Amino acid sequence: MIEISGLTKKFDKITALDALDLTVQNGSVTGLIGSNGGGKSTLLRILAGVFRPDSGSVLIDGERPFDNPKIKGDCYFVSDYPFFYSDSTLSNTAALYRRLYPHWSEEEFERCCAMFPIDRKQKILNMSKGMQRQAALIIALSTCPKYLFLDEIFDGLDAVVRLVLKRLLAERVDAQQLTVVIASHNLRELEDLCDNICLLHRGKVVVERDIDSLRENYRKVQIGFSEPQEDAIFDNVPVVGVWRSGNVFNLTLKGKEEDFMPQLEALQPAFISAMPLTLEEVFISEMEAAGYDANHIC
Amino acid sequence: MFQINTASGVPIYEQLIHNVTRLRDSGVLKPHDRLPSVRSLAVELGINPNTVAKAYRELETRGFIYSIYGKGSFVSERAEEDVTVPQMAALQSFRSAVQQAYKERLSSAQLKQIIDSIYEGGRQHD
Repeated sequence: MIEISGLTKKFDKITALDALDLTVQNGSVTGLIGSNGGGKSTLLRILAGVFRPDSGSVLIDGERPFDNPKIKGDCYFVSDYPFFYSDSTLSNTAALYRRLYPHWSEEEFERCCAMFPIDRKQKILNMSKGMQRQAALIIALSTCPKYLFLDEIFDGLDAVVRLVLKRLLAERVDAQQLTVVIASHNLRELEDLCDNICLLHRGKVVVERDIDSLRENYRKVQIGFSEPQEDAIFDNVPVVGVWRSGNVFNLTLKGKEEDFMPQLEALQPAFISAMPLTLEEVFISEMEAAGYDANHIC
Repeated sequence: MFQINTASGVPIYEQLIHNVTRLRDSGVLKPHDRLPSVRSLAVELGINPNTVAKAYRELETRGFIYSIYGKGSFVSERAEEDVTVPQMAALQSFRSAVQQAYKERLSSAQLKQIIDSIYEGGRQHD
């Protein structure tokens, strides 16, 4: 289990993480989403023991990861720019990691090499970005970690490899209670994979919940009236976004359909229809509320 | 065995529940047939196994499947009083249509006329 409490990290004047709280259960997949510069990568690096927190606490299985080989042996971090030495190949990297990682498995290494089409003797830095990511994944999975931290892993992977990755993760989450924290901008992919979503902006958690209740608690509603209406008619309804065109309003609501629908129907609309939001739409809506939206950053 | 539509907006675990109940109601899945394991289904579809587990738990709560520890999950027998999923969907559509008619100020007599004509007409063809 990962327990983060009051975590703060600054770089000179920039506060990358601001008194962050987060708990991650074993055998779960948590998606970290957020604006660029929101703190996702910093958080993953603190979990991986790359950075030390300035204040607050981070515990993995009850211990701090920084300077802690025991915990680090249970974790693996795949960075958005995976690091390799200039003459690294899969073969010589495996030879090194075999010695470093307590749970390294030859069997898994062979299996992953068979699944991802990479030449073991080829210099990794000569490969394309996508192939380098695949190489990093092969190594990561072969260390058989309990905790896997992935930063922007889907970027650069083709659709076939993405499916292979999702399948491998699904298998391990079930078989070994693997815990995954994955930062991504690819919200479409995260929807299939995650149990929980944590949205970060300016180092703070804006929203953190399980993905199903996130879907249940947002709706977009199109509501039309035969007569012109004041904008104030929605004052008692949990509207977080309004887009008006004549007598038709496109609303984004935060709340359960059974709660707000009666309120909307009481306004006697000519028609009304409700639809769930995609994760991307939830993200944009929450970011608008936090003041980060297409109208303000252009 | 199952199909999901990741773009539909319907939560994946709900889609799985619909899939299983539809196969069960139509007789494709017979009582005591074994369902795929949580892991194999998650792997096949490339989705989170906790999502599959959630769907299976819900199906078990509804009595559509049962589990034997160490062996897997199996389709349960249908009770005669069960309303099938297609029947429930038809009832729901009917209810919505009646609500709409009510809003449009149609009389219940007009609606009953339609019901009678369809059921009379149906009887003539049986």
